[in-house]
Amino acid sequence: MVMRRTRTLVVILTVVMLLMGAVGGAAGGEIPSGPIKIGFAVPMSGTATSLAPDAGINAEIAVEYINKYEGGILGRPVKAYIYDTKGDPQTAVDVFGKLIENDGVEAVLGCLSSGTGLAIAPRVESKWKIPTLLLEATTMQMFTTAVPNPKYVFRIGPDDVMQSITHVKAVLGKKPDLKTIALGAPDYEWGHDVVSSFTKILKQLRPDVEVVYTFFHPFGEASPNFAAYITELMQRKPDVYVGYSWGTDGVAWHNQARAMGLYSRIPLIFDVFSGTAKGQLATEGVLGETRAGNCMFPPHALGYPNSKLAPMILERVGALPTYGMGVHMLTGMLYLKAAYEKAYDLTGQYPTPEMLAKTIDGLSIIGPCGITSMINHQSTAPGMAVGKLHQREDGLWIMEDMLIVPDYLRIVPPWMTVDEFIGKLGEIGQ
Amino acid sequence: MLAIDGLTVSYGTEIAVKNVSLTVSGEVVCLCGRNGAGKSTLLKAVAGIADIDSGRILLDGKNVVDIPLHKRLEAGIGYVPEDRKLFNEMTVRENVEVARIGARAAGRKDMDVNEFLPELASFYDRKSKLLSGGQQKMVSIARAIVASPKVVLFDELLEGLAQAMAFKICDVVKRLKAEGKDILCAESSLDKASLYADRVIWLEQGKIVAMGTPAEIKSQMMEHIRKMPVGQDFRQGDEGCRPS
Amino acid sequence: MFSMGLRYILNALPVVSYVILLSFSYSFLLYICGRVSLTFAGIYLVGAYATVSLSIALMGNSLSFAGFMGILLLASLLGAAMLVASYLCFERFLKTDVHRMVATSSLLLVFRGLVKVVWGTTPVTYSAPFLELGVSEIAGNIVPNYYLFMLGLALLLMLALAYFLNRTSWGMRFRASSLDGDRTMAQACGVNQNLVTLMTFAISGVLAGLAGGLYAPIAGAAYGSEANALLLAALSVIIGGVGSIGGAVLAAFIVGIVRAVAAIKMPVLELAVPFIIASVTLMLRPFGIWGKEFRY
Repeated sequence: MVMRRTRTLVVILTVVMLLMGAVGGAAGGEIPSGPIKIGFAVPMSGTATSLAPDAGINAEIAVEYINKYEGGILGRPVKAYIYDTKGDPQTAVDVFGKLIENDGVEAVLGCLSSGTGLAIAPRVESKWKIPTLLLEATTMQMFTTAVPNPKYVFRIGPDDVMQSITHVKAVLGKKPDLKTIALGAPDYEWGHDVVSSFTKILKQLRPDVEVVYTFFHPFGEASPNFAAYITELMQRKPDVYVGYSWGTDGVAWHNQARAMGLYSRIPLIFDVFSGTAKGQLATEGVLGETRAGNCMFPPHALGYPNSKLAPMILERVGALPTYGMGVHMLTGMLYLKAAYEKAYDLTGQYPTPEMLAKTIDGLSIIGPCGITSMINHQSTAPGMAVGKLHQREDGLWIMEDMLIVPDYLRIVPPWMTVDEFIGKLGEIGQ
Repeated sequence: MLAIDGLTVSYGTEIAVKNVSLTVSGEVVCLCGRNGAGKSTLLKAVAGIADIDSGRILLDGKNVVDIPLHKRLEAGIGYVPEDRKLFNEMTVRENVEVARIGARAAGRKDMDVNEFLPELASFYDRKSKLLSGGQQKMVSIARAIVASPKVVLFDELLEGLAQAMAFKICDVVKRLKAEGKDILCAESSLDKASLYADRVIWLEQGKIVAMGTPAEIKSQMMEHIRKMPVGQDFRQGDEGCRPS
Repeated sequence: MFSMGLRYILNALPVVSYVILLSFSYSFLLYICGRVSLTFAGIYLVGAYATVSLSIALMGNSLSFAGFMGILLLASLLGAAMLVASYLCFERFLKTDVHRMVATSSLLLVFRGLVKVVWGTTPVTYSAPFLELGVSEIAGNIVPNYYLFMLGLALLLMLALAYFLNRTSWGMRFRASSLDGDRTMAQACGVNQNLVTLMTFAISGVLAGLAGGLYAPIAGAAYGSEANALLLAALSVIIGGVGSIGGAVLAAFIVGIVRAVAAIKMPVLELAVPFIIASVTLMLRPFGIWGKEFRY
């Protein structure tokens, strides 16, 4: 029985392969010669740049890594087209148009802010139709209202609820005896979203914890003065402060809070921004996050791929990102490489954009953050980590005592709404 | 001695002073005429405030035309503008000081304005904007004479002054003349001019039409003035409305 | 209650200090030369970037206080040089306020562009003075010593300017030429107006450059911060009155403190309150709290 089935399978496969060979030859299934063009649309100026320092350099590094250590894609070298979105939705649309229509790139990696992501995603699905890996754009709207049934759009960064659940779990894990908490965020949609979901989730998991102070500071105001919030925080004396200021706000917040001694006066601080930029902004002992497995594992001498990637980033950027565009970009490039090669293996043809997109979904790769999988167009890793920032003797900032929040506590099942899921967290979360 | 030779001054296309020549030597000369006749413009040209088109302005034989405004006082020309134009927020002392240090390089001996205008003493340290019109006029004069200029120019000297103050100011002018200053004034009223002027020059549309003692001019010009159509005083481009 | 009020005041100090310098930079030009010029905001931006870049280049991430003072001096002189150059090459040809308003607001864009070319749009930071000067405790409130240093320097400079204007012979010449005096008559009294104008531009440039340099260690040098600076300075001039040193200081305190209070009590209004105060001031005192009516 088994033998017969095997024989049938072999016959079918042979026929299929012969057919494919013929069709492939007729359709030009050969791997084209010359470099493979990949587009990068990343913020290189504007308020986002301090979050994604040297985003352009990180794109170059990801491509250089693929070409140097992974033999390119299907044996072809990768050529990068890198443009600045300025973090602005309209510019992002223009840049995507240029990449896809003029330069003829085969796939794009890009978008940090939700604003640019929301402007791009529907256009990719309806007009451009080429695989697009969003680096962040973490808004819940992305796969619910903006592109509910995505074919070409993928996301590497975690969505807002995944982030918030991780943050709450991490704070509770690091300071189980907390009684009071304060939250601060920039005054725009994302800031309000994360604070509101954090507060909701906290209410489910620890109804006894009191939120003593919540503030929203002006977003992206050049040269801001945060002294008022900082002293108010010190006055309210919460056990934990959770801060969501990022970008230029994050830099200013960090300096001002440090100068006024906030970091030594509040027992535990979780600062989204703290671990994100170059080491100079990190503070010893503050909690930083790694965002859905985007934590770059420490570069062990033999580790794949970080033993090669980390030195490249260190050399050109001067600091190792814990939350980094470099990590996102290499993760994206590895997904693309795996998808091209798998599609070609399966069909013997150079993949069309549609085939490529179908192949990306469901792929697993080993990336800078370990085993990472693309499930339903959302990349996810075994856990999302929060840890204490610590500067090693060699000057490198790393995260210690990492607390990893597992998937089942973060990923909303398809049969539940977000609110229902959060409502159930209290039952399963403790 | 102040000598003006063939002076022409215009604002844009309109000529305000046309080829005027006159001299002032140890006397008080007063320019009279209707509004817009060119009296004030002529004074401003001598003071350096109005640019001239052609002609010479000789002070003791030296042409001062190319001397910039901020060096005219030092060169020996003091100017008392029509509406006093004091430095309002400054005290009388400071108003006078500005001119004193401004013309310091001249090498002449400063005038003791307190001795010359003893009335100043009572309000010397008050802000000038708090003074009455007559007091302000005195400050304006003090400012013009502190650097002991050779020529003093007065625009509408007695305009808006009460009778007693007007006499006082006339007296000042006469004393200045006695100090050896050449004095050139502008006055729209012939009656007022006759209070202090040795000689009157009648200007009409930028040209000299008559010259003589106040009494002579009065008799010469009376008929002419009567015939003037009403409203002619207020033609467009009246110099009183021009920016200075 | 007292401690609370004091806290708002202390929190406002950095904004107060730089707004004092910046608003007087604007108002000084307007008052002495009768010239509207928005270029000072561009100088502010350049001052901030120059201070940060020079500090990082010369001192890395550490702090030499004397070195930092020297760099602030350099930033101020750079500001003076740039504003004087802007006058000589450009602004002196602008004859009416409308021209000055339109042309200098465009010039501001040129400065922005210049900053973009030289430094890019990513904010740069040098926080060592702010971080390393430590903090003091005043009536139970934490205040970084750098705040006090900023305010001290700003007030000292204002006192020096007040002394210059009211007690020196050059100051007298400046006042004679100002909107309170009479520019033409000052000139007729021997005051060289070209020199006064150049000196005024230079002083205004020093104030603007220093404002940028002083605030940079706290909030970084950020492309775009000149817009906010321009706004606060202009509103403070409206509130305080043109040409008044006391008015500049008072208005800066009002704007800074009210913003600090609003940030805590009514966050939605934080950016709007300076406008509201300026509007109310205009209704009650059209020439500002400390301003005088000018024949302008």
